[in-house]
Amino acid sequence: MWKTVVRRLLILIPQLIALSLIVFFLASLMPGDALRGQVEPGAPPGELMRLREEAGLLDPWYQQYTRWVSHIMRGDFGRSLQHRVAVTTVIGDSMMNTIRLSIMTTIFLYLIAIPLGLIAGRKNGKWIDKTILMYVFIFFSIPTIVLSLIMVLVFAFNLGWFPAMNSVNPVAAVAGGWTEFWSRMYHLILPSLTGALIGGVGVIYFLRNQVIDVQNADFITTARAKGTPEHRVYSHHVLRNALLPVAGGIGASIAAVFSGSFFIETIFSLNGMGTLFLSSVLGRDWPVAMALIMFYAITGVVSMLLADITIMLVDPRIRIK
Amino acid sequence: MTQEYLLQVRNLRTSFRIAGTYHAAVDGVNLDVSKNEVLALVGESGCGKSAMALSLTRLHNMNYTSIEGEIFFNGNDLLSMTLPELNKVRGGRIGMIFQDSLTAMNPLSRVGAQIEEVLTYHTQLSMSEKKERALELLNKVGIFNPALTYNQFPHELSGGMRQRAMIATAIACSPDLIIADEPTTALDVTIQAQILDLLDDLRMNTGGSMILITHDLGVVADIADRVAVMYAGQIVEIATVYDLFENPLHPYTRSLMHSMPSALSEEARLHTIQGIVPSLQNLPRTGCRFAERIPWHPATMHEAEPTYHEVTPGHFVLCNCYKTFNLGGA
Ligand SMILES: Nc1ncnc2c1ncn2[C@@H]1O[C@H](COP(=O)(O)OP(=O)(O)O)[C@@H](O)[C@H]1O
Ligand SMILES: [Mg+2]
Repeated sequence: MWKTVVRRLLILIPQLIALSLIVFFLASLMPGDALRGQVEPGAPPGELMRLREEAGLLDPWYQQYTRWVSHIMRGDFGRSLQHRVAVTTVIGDSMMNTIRLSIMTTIFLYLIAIPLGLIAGRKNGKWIDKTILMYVFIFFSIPTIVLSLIMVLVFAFNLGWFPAMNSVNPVAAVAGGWTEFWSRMYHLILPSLTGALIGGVGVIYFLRNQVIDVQNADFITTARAKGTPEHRVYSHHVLRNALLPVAGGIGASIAAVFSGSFFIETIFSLNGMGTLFLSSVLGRDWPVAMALIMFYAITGVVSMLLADITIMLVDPRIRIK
Repeated sequence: MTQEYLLQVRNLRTSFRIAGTYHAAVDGVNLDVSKNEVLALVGESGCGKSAMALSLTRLHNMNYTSIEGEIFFNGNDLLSMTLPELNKVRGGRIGMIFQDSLTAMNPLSRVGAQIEEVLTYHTQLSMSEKKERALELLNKVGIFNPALTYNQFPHELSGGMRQRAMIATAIACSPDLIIADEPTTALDVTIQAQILDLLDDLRMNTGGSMILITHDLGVVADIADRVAVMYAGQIVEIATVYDLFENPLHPYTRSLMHSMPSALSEEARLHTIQGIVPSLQNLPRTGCRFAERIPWHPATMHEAEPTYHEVTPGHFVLCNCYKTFNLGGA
């Protein structure tokens, strides 16, 4: 199994190289740069050029690229052109926010989707299945923005149960420790629930169909022929076999949650990677944008790897070489 | 109801809902199985053997299946039992063996656990006692290295080994009745004989009854006491093995005999009956159901409402057409 892990991580290297080359090339085609807005109105005419020269922006894109790569090798992600501090400093906070949001969303997602998918499949065609399917179809078509606004309106403004925005209470942030931690969690409930309600519908629908398939399998008949009580037939035989392909989708699901967090971060004013990415692209802040793209790519591959490892652990028939 | 019968099936009708209407796959079957008897149920693929076997312990998906009639097992009607009552019988008093052991075993459970499961619901054995018993059973069904197989997953075993493990599960609680639905059809010819011998040995040792389902008349001669021949959801002939092989009556039985490899003379091959069992929706529900497969036989020779004729004691045949029928016409 470790061979697989290592091999997958090795494949990541050419993937990252190709991706970064494409991004660098495309960036060179885009008009404008980050420095134009930073030149003081009264500065001498050569000032902008001087700053560009200093940042290396006048070199051909492939030279900029090789320089960027050699810096990365030394663990240096460069400086943000907009914020004039190290990229790692700019990214740090928002990355932690997004990671926390994604983990919470993923947990909520499976907490909601697994029971609903199982019940819908087992009660296939009954009213409870129809109700769950209705939820699936509504939430499949509702845009994230609309649901987010509804959630904020109902649970933040009308009921006042959760904060409508920000990732932490400023007072708690100063206090630090557990106070800060709980404040952050509390602020994440509404946004992650919103993401989970929307992201979960695919899992529910998939799991429901899995259950419907598996409950007609021959080995389920065998289980019943052994006198296995119905609740055990489901909890022991149907559940594990139906969840197997769902476990295979966990990687794609995590990746989707990560990249889909943008709208939610924007609406709930969470300072996350999605919002940062947009502002860095609009501001032509390529060092920041590049670091984020690399991070997204690594997240994608690692979550797929996670999914494969999960499957290998639960399915005895699969031994990936 | 006489007590010497273990199983009495009365007017069993199993229907599947297809596109909104129910079609009977088992259509009015009456059948008795005595204690210690081996009854073979023979017929082409699609004639309703599995539908009937699964009906006996109500293993169909009842969302689209209806099972009518009575099935007395040790005097109790299995069709009117509650599910918890029935679960005591399933696996405990009636053991089942299926055709395809690969799909019939849970791919995610170890062989040992799958055998122990049946012990869990029908005995009070502790974990270690169950394991001991499972190893014992694996040994009994001829698995060379029970300790190894115990920890293996179904896909790691050969077809023959898996079928042995299925047999171990079926006999684990020393049931009164084993229902084996084409237990050797999926196996190589050489292994088929071994598995059949094993089944027969085990049954003789434990003294239970067995319903052996097969589409191959050839395998029943050595093992069965009686044979029921099934066609299109009905039993068309039933007799002791001896009577059936000595004096096959129904046109369908005779055509089955002629398609046995050993009986395949040049002449018989020419006269093998053509066609297949019709699908449920296209099944003739009135008159002799076999008539359409022997079109050369005059229609007047069939009964309008076929009835059973007891030709010799215990030898029943459905419809009058057997009296005038010749294989291949003439
Ligand atoms: N679950 C089902 N739903 C609909 N039709 C079925 C089902 N099971 C069996 N049948 C039909 O019933 C008939 C008898 O099938 P089966 O009992 O499996 O035959 P056999 O075991 O003798 O080969 C066939 O026409 C088959 O298509
Ligand atoms: Mg069958």
